[in-house]
Amino acid sequence: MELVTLKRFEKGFVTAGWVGMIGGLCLLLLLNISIVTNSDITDNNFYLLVYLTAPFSVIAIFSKKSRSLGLWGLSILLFIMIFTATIFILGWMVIPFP
Amino acid sequence: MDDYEKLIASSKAEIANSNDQSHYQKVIKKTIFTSKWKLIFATLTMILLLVPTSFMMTFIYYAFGTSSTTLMDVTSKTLYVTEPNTSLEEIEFDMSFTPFSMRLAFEQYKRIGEEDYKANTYDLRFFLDSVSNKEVTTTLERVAPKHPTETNSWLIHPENKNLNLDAGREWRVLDGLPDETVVEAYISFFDLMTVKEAEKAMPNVDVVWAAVDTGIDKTNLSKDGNVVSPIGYPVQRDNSIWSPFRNATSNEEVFKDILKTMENHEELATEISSAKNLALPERIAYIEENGMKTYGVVVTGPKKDVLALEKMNIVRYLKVGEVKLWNWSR
Repeated sequence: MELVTLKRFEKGFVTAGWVGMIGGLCLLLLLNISIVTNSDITDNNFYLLVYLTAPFSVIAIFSKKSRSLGLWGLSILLFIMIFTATIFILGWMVIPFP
Repeated sequence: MDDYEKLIASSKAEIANSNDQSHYQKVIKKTIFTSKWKLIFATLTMILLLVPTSFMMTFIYYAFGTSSTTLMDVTSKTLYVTEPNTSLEEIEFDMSFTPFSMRLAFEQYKRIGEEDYKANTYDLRFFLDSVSNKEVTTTLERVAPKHPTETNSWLIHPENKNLNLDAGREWRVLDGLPDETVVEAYISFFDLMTVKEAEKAMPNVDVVWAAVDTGIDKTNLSKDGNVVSPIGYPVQRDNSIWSPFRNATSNEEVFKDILKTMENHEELATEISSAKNLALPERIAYIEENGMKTYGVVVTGPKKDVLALEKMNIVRYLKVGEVKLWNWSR
């Protein structure tokens, strides 16, 4: 019975997976723009995309059909988190000014 | 026929035997469409990961490889000892990073009279640990020769006889300046002397930088025949936070330490400095063997007091540097 219900929502899971993955790609694009133009992108749009990508990707991993998309989105988020932490920590070593 | 081929063959047979062909075609079309977009997005993801990954690697390189602080340190120290009468301000340092490169921008100051004036703006680009681009914008009115040769140095060694100096011209230029000005002047001596002796001989002006005799200044040529430029150190106490001479008990000792630091990064130091060559190993060896004597200094003070140096029998040659309106309070 539960399996039937899950199948009914399969389309929804797949859509959530695509939204999460495309959101992650947009985040990566923003990150690229910020690096290339040397500007700060931690504005509302960036956080909006994070809040969009994370829940949709998590939802997507509950269905077998959309799991790869969900993991894709979450991997991008994980990469961005590692990137931010690395730059923040190494920034203290690399840039000697406050 | 392996398992995969068997599976494909049975699927094909199932589709061929099916009554509802359109359903299968629809499923195949949808699968192809999804796969195509997944491939496009996967490629996009890979491309978009390139810049952040290389940026992260750049930070790792500048933190654990050749550190950014080392590059900044060598830059600062090189300029203090190769550019007469100059200083840097920490707050003015601007450091930024792009993948595999670092940009360092800062301003250099000159002491004229009792005040510091902006002399040059540096914009250095490093590709990993080497200078890929160097731009210097000067605000000086009297700029030292851009391409140093054996004969165009502003500070001249007593034994450098191969020069057709018109010593009188610069004194006449100085004489023509208004009395209400302060002047930066490059003074070359007839004989080598210690910095203390030079300061004692010129009590009415400030001796701000001293060129050190390194054995190769007689000809301005290194053993290998490369053109070298004067090196020296600031004479006055410097308590600015960024200065390598901050709180130094002896500027001479700091100068020696700086030369040793620069020797470890000689290629970089040469790229940063306006000198074509630094020839540090032979200069360090000479200083360690013969001690430190100066053959020329940079002084600053009221025009009248600088002009009075003409009557002294120790001054061989003078070159007028920057001139500013009166700011002398003594």
